[in-house]
Amino acid sequence: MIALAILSSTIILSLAAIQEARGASLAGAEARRARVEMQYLLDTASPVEGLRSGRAGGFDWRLDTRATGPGSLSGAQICSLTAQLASLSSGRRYRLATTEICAPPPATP
Amino acid sequence: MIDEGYTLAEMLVALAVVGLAIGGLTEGMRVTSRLQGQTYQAMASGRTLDRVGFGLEQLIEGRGPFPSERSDLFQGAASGFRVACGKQDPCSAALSSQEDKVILDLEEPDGSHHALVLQGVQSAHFAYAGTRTFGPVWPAAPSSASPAPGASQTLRTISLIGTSADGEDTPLASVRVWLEQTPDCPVGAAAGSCQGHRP
Repeated sequence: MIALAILSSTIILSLAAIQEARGASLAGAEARRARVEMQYLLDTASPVEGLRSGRAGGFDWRLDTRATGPGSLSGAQICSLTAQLASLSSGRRYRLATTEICAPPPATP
Repeated sequence: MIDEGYTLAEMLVALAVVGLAIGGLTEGMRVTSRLQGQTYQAMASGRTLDRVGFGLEQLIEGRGPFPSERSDLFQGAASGFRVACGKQDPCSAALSSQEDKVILDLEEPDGSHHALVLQGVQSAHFAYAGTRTFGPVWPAAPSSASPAPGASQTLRTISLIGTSADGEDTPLASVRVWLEQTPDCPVGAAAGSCQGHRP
């Protein structure tokens, strides 16, 4: 009985350790995909003020472009771009921000 | 005569316990193997994508900026790009397909080739973001986004996008290009651009 208990404990602990390692590797892979996705969103977004959102690559994404100050020079201004992702599988949230020269939002009639 | 030993019931119980133990051990090993395989797959995929991003960065590092009117410095298509890298033949990155595998072939400045298998994608393509346009070709053709045929813009980002089996596009790597002059590059006053790197 003791041998059986030791054997089953070993198996259970090994499985738990492997499960944790798998979780860590998947979290790392997800963080890497999120970083590339956010970098892609920031780099390819049209530089116009506003809020955009969508779903891609296993993430809900949201890209917010806001003017950082009131001043504008020749129709352009400094904007802060913030990309936010929420993983559909794990629910983890990621955020990456930068500043960019952007144009004011199109005038609404 | 000594009457010692196990009864049939004891033997059956012992055999059942041993059977359960062996069954549990086998199942445990099977689950362990499956989890290990998934972990290895995730890590291998991440390593490959890191190598792809690093390889693309190496190709363009210190070689920008790439204005749209200088197609001799950089030419990009969906299947790959060529970049002037100081030797007679330009450095390049090219996508190809072999037996359901998508392969990225990188030709480095030292003439060496690296072939990287992109895992988990059915196809892949490059996309180029300039200061005004985003598309599969660089220099971009004049369009509504840049109506003036001679309108100059500068390449900002090179993206490698993979398409999965369910048709979804996912960025695999995104590499930024320097928009400003590198410190070792004299700027031509008239052209306003790099006139060649200093030795």
